[in-house]
Amino acid sequence: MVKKQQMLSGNGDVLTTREAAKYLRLTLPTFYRYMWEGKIQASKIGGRYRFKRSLLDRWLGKKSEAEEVSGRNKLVGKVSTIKRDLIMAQVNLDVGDNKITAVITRDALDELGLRVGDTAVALIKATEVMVIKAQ
Amino acid sequence: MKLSARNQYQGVVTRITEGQAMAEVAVRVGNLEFIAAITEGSVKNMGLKLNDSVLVAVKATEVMIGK
Repeated sequence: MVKKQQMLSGNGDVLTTREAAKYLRLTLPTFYRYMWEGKIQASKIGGRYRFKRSLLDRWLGKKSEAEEVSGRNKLVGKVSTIKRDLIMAQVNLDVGDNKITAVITRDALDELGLRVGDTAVALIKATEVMVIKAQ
Repeated sequence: MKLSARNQYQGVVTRITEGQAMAEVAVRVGNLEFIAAITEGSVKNMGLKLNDSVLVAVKATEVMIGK
């Protein structure tokens, strides 16, 4: 028990499935579901799953920022260019091989403190996505 | 037809989930997937099917940025 406590409070360590679920304060079934959905990254060592605490921490951080928004389209990319005028700003993101352009207000840009090279998420509500069938 | 939308991607329909009024259409663009919620009528009008080649368009002002 003492040994277990020490393990849980250590830094940069490796957790078992049970410990990882406890660390995230999730029930085991919920934790497994997140695992199968690929939300939580696991490593299999000798037939057993092990979890790096730093990866769980990163997952927690990510969840609070992007995953709690209902938008169906979340594209994580890097800011490639920013064009700005007094009222509006055009932000271009590189998302893999694709580019996405957003036009946001100058106020929003300044509030985000967005710079070229930053990692950012482009969010698009599904009802704003048009589908055009090729002729 | 030429469109002014800044975001236009050529893709393939990978999933269509039809509801009463709306349909959810998933379009694969390279290694990205776009989800579009369009009316059931639009799906019928276009005769949209799985594996159809489609264009996905989003006006730049409809894109939110999060950091």
